[in-house]
Amino acid sequence: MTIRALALHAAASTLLALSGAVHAQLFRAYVASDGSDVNPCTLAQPCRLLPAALAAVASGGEIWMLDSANYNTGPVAIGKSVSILAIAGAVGSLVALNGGPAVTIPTSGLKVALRNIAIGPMAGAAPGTSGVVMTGASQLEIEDCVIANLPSVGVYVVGTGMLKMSDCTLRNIGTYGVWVQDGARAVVASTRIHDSQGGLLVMTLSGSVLTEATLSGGVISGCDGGVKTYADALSSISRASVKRTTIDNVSYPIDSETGTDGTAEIDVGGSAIVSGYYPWHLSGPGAKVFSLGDNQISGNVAPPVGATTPLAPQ
Amino acid sequence: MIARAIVSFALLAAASGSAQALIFRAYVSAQGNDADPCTLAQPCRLLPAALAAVADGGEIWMLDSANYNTSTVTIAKSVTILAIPGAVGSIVAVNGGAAISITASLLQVALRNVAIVPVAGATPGTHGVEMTNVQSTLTIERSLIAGMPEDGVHVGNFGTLVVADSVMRNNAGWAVSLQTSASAVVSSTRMIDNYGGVLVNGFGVSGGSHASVVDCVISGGGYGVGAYAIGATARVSVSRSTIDRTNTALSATTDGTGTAEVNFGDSLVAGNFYAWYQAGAGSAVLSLLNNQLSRNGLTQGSKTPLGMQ
Repeated sequence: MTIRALALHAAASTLLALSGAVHAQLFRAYVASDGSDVNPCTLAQPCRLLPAALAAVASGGEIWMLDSANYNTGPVAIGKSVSILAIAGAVGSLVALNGGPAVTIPTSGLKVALRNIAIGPMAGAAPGTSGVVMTGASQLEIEDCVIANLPSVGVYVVGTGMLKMSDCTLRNIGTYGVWVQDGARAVVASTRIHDSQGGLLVMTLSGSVLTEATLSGGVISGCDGGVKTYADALSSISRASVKRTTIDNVSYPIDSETGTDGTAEIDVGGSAIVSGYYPWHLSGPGAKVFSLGDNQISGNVAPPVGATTPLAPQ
Repeated sequence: MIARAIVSFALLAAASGSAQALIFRAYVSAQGNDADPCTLAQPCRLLPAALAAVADGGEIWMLDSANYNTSTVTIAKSVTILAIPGAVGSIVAVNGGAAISITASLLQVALRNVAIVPVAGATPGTHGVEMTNVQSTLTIERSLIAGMPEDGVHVGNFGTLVVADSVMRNNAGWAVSLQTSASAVVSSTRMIDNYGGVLVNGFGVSGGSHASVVDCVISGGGYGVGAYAIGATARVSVSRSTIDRTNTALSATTDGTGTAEVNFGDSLVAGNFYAWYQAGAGSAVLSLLNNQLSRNGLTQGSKTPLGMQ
């Protein structure tokens, strides 16, 4: 609070300099553990919860969580472009409870970023579902976040949205850590997914639709599924690329499956697939796994199901 | 603090609908008191009080830099314990016990940003974190475990361990030690001057233990990684890691029964007395043949190519 008080004058001056006049909406809104939602969400008078800050911030602006606290009491619906971050040194907590996710992005055409946020359940309350659900055709960046102990999905993107996730930890998730579906794209880098039902799921259930994801520098362990592509619609395609990733103690580390229609592909290079059950598993007429031929595969219980296709280094 | 109190109570009431006997997030701080309810406004002082106050599956936040135990902290419910970034959340091992002991099955326990150390001058403790023979999962992230008289993390039979972004140094035992039917993934972690880095034991007539060591540095001490089997299976997989200046970098040994395997790829093994030590029927050191081995002294037994796929 001392910093906030000292910064009051500077912040006000900066705002005026940037806007030229007092705006109805802020370029940066603030929330704090001792804030109040009747405040204007300024640095001097922060709000308490994210919905108030989202109402106060301008499209394309930022929301800063100023100290360690929880900042929601129900699903936070994001309907404008915004970056939400906890300042370094603080734990910015969001909870999923009462049958809903912690964060939803139902609107298209947005650019949303979450940074240094911890998303979890609220023990003792009615359980929530997922961490982040994006149904709009928007761009979502998630950086340096923890998503844990949720009964449904860590991050679920359906439609033609784009997810870029880096340096995150997802653990003890009821289904998949990251689930992209029906036209979504994802790039997941330097992220660990542990002790969940699955790591990354790329699923296409709509005809003539491509869904794809890239996973690099990651670790997936203690799951039933590792990276799975699934397609089951006419001309549907699900693709995943896996690079420099370790998949340990997973029943289906690399799992490509189709129904009667569709194409499901996974290409793998420079990765370790160890101590699992099947090293890879293909099922259905359109399933393929491509190997760069430089993977470390050891200590898996059962032989692979299906053959890999060589992918020549270039 | 008063403002935080009002807000905290309001949030809890709004989220839960009613006052609850156990809270979803309990707090401890340097000025807390164990007679308090462990809320943000009235934090407790020590972890046992917070563990009693928190709901199963909840969290405990250490609000500032201090030590938060006076003896072994026994964890018997699923919980996440974290020090907020910028704070040092210290937990000590004293009086012949571990700093933390996990004693029940089917738990999900996470420790994040904590420092587990001894108390100089006190009766020594044992391990940093001990998970007894229970089928639970322990996650340790961004933490320090140093100076333990025994292992940094000791996982008994059936346990599952995840360690990431942590430092383990100067522990008289192994940084990570697994017993039978346990598993671990250790990533982006530095294990410095311990007796050894990661040990996997496979004792018994069936089952097996295994560990993956990914993006790690192990330096100094007696061993890098070790797989040791008597009857069962013990396996360590090493990838994208450096093992430097140990006595034995990669050790796979059996008493003539069971299977002990160390496989490694894309790693640097340098300056060790033994680069690898393979002994006993059923033991193997498997190389992906893309490793960098240099300045090591001896080898014992054979190193078997592991074909890349």
